[in-house]
Amino acid sequence: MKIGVFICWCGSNIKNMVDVERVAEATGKMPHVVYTQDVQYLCSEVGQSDIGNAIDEHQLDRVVIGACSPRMHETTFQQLMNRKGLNPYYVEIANIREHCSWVHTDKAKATVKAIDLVKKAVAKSYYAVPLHAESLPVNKRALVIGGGIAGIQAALDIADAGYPVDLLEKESSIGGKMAQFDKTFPTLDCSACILTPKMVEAATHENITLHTYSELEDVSGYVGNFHVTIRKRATSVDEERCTGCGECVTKCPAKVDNEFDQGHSKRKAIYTLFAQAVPNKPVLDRKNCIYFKTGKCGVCKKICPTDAINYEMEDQLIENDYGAIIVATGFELNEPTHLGEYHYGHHPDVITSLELERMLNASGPTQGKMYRPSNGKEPKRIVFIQCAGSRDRHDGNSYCSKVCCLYTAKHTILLNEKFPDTESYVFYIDVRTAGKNYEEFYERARQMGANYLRGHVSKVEPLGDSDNRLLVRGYDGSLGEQTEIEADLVVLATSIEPQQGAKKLAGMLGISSDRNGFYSEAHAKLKPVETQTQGVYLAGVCQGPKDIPEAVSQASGTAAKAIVLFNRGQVKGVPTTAMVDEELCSGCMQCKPVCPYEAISQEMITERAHGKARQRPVASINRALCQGCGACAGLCRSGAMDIGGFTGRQLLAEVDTL
Amino acid sequence: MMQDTFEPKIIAFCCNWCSYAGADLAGTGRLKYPENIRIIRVPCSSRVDSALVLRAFQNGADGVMIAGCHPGDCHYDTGNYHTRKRMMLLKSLMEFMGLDEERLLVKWISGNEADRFKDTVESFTSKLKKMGASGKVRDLRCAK
Amino acid sequence: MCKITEELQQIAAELLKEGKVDLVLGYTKGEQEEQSVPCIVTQPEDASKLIFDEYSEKALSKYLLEESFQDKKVAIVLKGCDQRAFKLMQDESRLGREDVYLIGVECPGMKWGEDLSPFCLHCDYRTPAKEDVDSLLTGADIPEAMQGEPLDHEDSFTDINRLEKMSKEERFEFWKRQLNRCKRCYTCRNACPVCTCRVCVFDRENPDYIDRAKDQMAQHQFYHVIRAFHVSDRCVSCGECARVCPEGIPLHLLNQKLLRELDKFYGEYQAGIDEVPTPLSHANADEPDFFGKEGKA
Repeated sequence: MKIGVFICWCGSNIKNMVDVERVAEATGKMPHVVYTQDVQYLCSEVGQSDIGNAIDEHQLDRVVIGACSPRMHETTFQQLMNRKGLNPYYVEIANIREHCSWVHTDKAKATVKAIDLVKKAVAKSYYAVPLHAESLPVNKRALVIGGGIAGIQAALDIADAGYPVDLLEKESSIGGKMAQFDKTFPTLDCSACILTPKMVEAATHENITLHTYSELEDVSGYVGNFHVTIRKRATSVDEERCTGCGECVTKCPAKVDNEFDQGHSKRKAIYTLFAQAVPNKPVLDRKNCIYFKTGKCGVCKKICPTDAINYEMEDQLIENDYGAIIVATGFELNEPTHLGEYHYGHHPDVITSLELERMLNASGPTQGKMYRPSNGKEPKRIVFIQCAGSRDRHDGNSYCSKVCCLYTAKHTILLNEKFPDTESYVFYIDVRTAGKNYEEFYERARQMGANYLRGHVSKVEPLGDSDNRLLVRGYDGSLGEQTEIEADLVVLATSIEPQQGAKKLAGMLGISSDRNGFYSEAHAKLKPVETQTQGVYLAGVCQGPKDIPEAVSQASGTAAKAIVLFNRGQVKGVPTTAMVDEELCSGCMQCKPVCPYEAISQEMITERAHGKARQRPVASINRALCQGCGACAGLCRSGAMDIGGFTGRQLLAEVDTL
Repeated sequence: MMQDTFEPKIIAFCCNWCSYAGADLAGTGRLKYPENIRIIRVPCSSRVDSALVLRAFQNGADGVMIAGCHPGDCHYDTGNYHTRKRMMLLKSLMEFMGLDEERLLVKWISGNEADRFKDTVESFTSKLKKMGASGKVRDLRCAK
Repeated sequence: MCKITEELQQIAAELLKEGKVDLVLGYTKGEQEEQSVPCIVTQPEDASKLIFDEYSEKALSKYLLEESFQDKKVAIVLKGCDQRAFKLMQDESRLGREDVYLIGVECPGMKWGEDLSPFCLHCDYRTPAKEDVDSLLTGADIPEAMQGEPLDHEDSFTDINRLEKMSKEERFEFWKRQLNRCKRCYTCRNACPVCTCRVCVFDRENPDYIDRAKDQMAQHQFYHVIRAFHVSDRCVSCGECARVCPEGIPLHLLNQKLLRELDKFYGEYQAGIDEVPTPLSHANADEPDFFGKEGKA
């Protein structure tokens, strides 16, 4: 073992506070140290060639650097080692700038400390082991979970790059929440008009396979090599045979509330989700089907001209391998029944914004006509209540749902345009309009006559008049007094919430959720589409409330991540992973639940002992998954588990020199 | 008299992602703190086992600090949850054996909390100065 | 002869006669009346040597890991705590259940000097569960103190309370007195049924956790702290560590203290009864944070 020690002056940054010659001299006396040098700038080309020359001249096999933080230049020195044909993990860095010269004022003491730190690094390097990153091939196929606008965008981008994509959607059609909207802010584009072409493009794209009416059943594997099982629920309609003529839907005698219209219309037991559904083939809702409930009926089967109805159809399990998974599962809207003061669920004229959205929609339950659910008459005065369940620490979610301010402004504008004699009142806490052209849009709403009242609504109650109208009691902050408004319709801007099954899905994918249940990105600022699990990316509202353009750009971000991964064609793990000493490991697997990456599994090895071959279990590390945290090594009683670059022996050596 | 001249030796295990970065930031910001501390870089605070802590004490450390990301911020998601569980146990065992458990400091310091890093080092150093040299861990077995 | 011993001898003889097992691992009377020792019986006619009484304290399960027991069909006598240890070894893939015939016995409580073991007074798992063993022998003579509800941990390990009430200096002096007697003979480790590493860290040369070259004396408490740690969440509360110590050091207090802390903060867990993972093998956000801004540190 031949170690070279190099002490950097960092110009005056280190040299002014640390006697670099003394540091070099003191560490030069340590065993195996054959060469020392202090250099003005080790990171410079001159410094690098000094190290390179010394490696050649003195046949150094290990290098110890006393310089700035390894977080700064570790890779610089590792690359130099690589160029010199030495393993990059044979370089050890003592941080004598950030942790020493810059934070101390007594040169003598700082020098003593710098000597300690470099000695510690030398001691650690005695036990350095060469490390290599594992490379594994990537399966160049992506799975997108969720067929809303985010999922569709991600799928299209990846497919356009030439990679196959499977798009998974739990409903019978893709489109997601955006398909339910009427217009979009701030341009008032017709939602369906901009969404439907994308839906069709996704369905017809040669690289995209749709799996509608399907859910994720199981996920195993890791980045580049996920193995996924998809459950395709039985639709009772043979996709191949069905032409989508709609005869069955017309003739089906069973009527149930239409969820897509928020219960403001009826649908049949065999139905398509909405008129422009993609794929446009009906599914049979067995819960509400008369045949499935009583064994009698069978009208759809009799009427079908292509004999596509199959009551015996079973759920199908589809297994596939993917390199990357994009999660775009979207959101749900909170049912504001728990907010008793708003009377939702007790008075039919208290509705949610999405219900209003459906009413306004020309292809919605009323063909765009406004009506009061209680009596069918057109409402003249509408009160909007913002933050119904959002920004409410006590009875709701503490976070802001982000899109309500703008869509409410949109609603008041649409109402004003279509029904000029309606009055709109909006109770709000703050109006948040961050976004391009959003403030202008909100201004427009106000100019068009929407009455904005800053204040909290304390109660909504029946007025008790012959028209069964509502009385909204609130506080008008601008006047500083209580106010009462008689309303024909009250619209609640309900809170955006994670999907019911979000937690379960997170468990399957090995990703984490924040305290509100939205999926956590790997880094709030710099890794907004990645998750802690490599190869799993987040798009859209499942990661947190956002509007359509944000969801779309995030989706394209995830697509870019997946495409980068596919283009590279292989994944490189971190070199500093856990490693198992099989001789010591008893295979007790207490380390397994510690691992946040599920990188540890049990493996049988064959061992010859006392003249016999015997099988015994040991822990085994999947180096592609392991990120090298060392939680397992910190736990392992026998010391069988270790971390490359931070082995127990190395850390003990460091402790022992101090 | 003794207290004025006594310089405690502190070994700190800092997680690479938060506390080590916090210490780096203290340097970049030219904050000043006593020279007593020697930082050992670990990938995550959960890498530190009780044997390393004890070994540090036995080698004459007057204080040992384990610093990691704040709970919920762990780079590896759950590492510091393990750290706090294990170190709570170690500290209560030290206390039960009549050792100075205060000499083992567990602290959450994020990558941008340079001040918190500096304050921690300052207060820990002055506390150890008041406590004096740590003999107990080495003395426990040395009958007089 | 007590009922359990009688039935035990009968079962052992049958198992051996029918060739269901190669050997039976149990207890026999030692040289003194107040002593029972492990014994291996291979012939049906020797089954009469086997006994089970309030001196059969030694945990037998760990023997199954030894080389001489490999590839043999073994029947083993297990009382509650020993069966817990067996279950843990099974959960940790050290043993296969199908390879061993388990004879569960109802434990009357073991002697602890003149008295009953505090472990047994606290124990609510004296008898292995019927479904966990192949034969279960009950009908032990239960002393009065063991009848009724088991004692709380606090009431049975009163020494922990006593120590906790002492000043730090007194506690230090107490342990100094105790640990000064340690010769590091490792009997405590060897007797412990959950100390089952293939190679103990204290037997390893590199990294030498016990730094032999350095201050010899300082290493003892290092050993005891680490030992307590390594068994903390896996302790099956048999009490063997303290019982076998030739110097009479109350080592079990260290484990029991840790167990008490674990139970207090993370909920009760009984190794070898509750499912693995053991408490130290998992951690989550909801657990108490002692080191946060408001914490004691």
